[in-house]
Amino acid sequence: MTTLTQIEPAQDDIREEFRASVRGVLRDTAPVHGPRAVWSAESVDADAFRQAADLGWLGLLVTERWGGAGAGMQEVVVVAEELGAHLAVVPFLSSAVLTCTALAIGGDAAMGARWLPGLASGQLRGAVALTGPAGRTDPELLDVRAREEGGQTVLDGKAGFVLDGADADLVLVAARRTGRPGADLYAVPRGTPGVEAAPQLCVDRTRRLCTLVLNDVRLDASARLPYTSEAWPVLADRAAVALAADAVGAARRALDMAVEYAKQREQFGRPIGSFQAIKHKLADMYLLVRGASLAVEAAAAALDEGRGARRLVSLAGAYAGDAAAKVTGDAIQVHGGIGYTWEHDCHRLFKRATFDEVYLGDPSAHRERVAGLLLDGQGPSTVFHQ
Amino acid sequence: MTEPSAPTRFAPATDPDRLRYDLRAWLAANTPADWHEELRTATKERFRAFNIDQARKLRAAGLLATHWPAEHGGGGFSFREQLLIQEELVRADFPQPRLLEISLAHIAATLIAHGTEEQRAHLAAILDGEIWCQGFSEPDAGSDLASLRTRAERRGDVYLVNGQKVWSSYADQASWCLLLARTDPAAPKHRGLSLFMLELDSPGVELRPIRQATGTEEFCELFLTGVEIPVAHRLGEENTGWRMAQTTLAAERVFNTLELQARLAVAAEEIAAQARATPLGGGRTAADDTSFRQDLAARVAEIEVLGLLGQHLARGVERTGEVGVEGSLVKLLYSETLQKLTGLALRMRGMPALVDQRREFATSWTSGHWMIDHLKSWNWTIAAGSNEIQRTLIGERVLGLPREPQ
Repeated sequence: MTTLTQIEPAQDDIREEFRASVRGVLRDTAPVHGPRAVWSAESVDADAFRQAADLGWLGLLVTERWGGAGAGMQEVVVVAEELGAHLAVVPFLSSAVLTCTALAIGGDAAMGARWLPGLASGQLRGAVALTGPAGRTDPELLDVRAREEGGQTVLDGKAGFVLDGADADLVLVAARRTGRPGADLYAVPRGTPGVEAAPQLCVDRTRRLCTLVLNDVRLDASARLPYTSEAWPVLADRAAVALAADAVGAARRALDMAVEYAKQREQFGRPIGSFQAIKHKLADMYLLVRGASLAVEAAAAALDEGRGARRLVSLAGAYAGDAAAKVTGDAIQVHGGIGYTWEHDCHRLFKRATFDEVYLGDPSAHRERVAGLLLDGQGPSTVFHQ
Repeated sequence: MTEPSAPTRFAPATDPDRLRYDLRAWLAANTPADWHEELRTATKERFRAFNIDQARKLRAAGLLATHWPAEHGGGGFSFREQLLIQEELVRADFPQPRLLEISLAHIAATLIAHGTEEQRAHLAAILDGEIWCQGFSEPDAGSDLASLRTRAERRGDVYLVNGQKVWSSYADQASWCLLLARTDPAAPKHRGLSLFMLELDSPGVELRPIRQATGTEEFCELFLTGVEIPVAHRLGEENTGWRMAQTTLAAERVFNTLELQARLAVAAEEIAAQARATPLGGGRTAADDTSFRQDLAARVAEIEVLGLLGQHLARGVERTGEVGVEGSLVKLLYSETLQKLTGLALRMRGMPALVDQRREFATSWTSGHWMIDHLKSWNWTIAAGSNEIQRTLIGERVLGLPREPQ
């Protein structure tokens, strides 16, 4: 089995081997299950999570100094795509991508030492609370406020749509300071007095959301991760590419299922895939999946190499977000009535892709960034609305 | 800074930055001024002379057949170098010899793959400016190409050919035609076809140009009455023409992608510049319009994906020598992106885009006359296997879906 320490950058065949290994692990530990409870979120795939930890997936973006693999986004997108394809419930995006990136950028050495080794090994889980009750990242729409009082930082307010926040050991909460523009992140460990988490049942049951209510939460001044206008885009770009990869995985699986179904389902005395109406739809879906996957790989490579990444990230976010929504929706159509039932996985893939599309900046925000670069000479530096 | 002196001939294995720098110097010295205006009112003879002249310049600089194998007179450039060369030619607005496109791409690929030593002598002639056209489609054989009826009957050392061909691009400028004709009417339709090299000044060949929706004449009808083709001008074995034609069509799908993608990217930048200069009143320009911004960005994403796909496929061609059925993806994405982009541009410009500039000739599919470019995009969605045929190919050959009952 390929582990992360074997991966050298730009070794395509090793990366392909890594992909096969990720796929194999998830096939065994996070099979796409049959019927699920209707009115509850799915629970974390414990076996898959353990394997993810053992194989180093959770520490991909953590440097070797803190026990991580020191890998990059090109490896992250391999894992994210397979997690999406398997509808896996593993806190990868929240902990391994967002929390680890946020700490690596904004945290000091003491904070890194305290949290990163545990997050990389999977002993600890992290989450980020970047949105307010409106579900957007615009600072003026954040509800949580930070103020200084007697050498301490006090947080008050409400964060919404916090992914994997309810049982996280650490939540990095975005908050505004009175009279200052922008927002910073604050490290809030589990069990901090004044923090209450209320689950929000997401239509995508593979995503566990909650609302965090902070009431007179008192933290050391060292809990603040100062976030500059340079830091936010790094976090936003990694989030966008990881989400796009997850969406590509969901779309790929939806396409595979629709193709298989079109080969065996017969109407009018022949397989429905022999009709042009279905065949051409599946051909279009294939083009979208191939294109989205190439766009995501190119964006991940650009982020790792630090060249022209901003444009490629948004192109991937725009193309993959639209493509996955279209492909997973068309897969329901190809399946007909059976694809519309709760027991079938079509709707779960559609919901997963829609979450990926909407969470933390949708394709229209990405398109606006591309348009800005082309039409105004510069776009907003981040799809996070800072 | 001293004036850069352009090399007279480019060779592979140069440092890429150096190659780019030298190309820019060469292009600055060799791109004709005012060629757009000159071609707008050119005669057919002048257009041909212009094309041959451009080809000669490229050839002298070692830039004419960059994708051909070196042993056949190609440039022997690496894939990355070819990409760079195409990009620079497009950025400099260097007019490509459009009339030689079929010769350099489809004909060359077919001759290299299937031609005898003697037949491959045409490769050298093509480098010297020999213009070819294709005789595939017929009035009753478009998407169902294999049902074509033009007949070639063996009579000793010659084939006697009778029939009619249509949609042959620039046949009136060409001296040779790659002809697909039926040699065995009793065989199943795909198995009775052969491929020939037809010299267009042979007795019995009659040409009639077709005026297109754009107002210009680029296609021809070909009437073949008792035309004799020497047996030595048959390509490959008798009745294997369909497979060879597939090779030709596959090359047609991928060869120009790199240049076409670069042109689309440049066109998107041009559209952005025009939008900034297109007033909407109230101090706003078209560049401020939200829906235009969203649409343009969506097209730019498609252009980027087209580039990634083209590079991916071209690398595959370098490795295996074959295009494969995924070439259909490139054709689909290019043609539909071209159609949407030119439609967006003309609607952004509004009435000024509807003034007919009466342009006789253009050398690209994004000439900046957006209404005409938009119309011409249907050439791309229909020709070389309509997009419906491409979708069927992807469905059956890539996804393994069952064929339609015949």
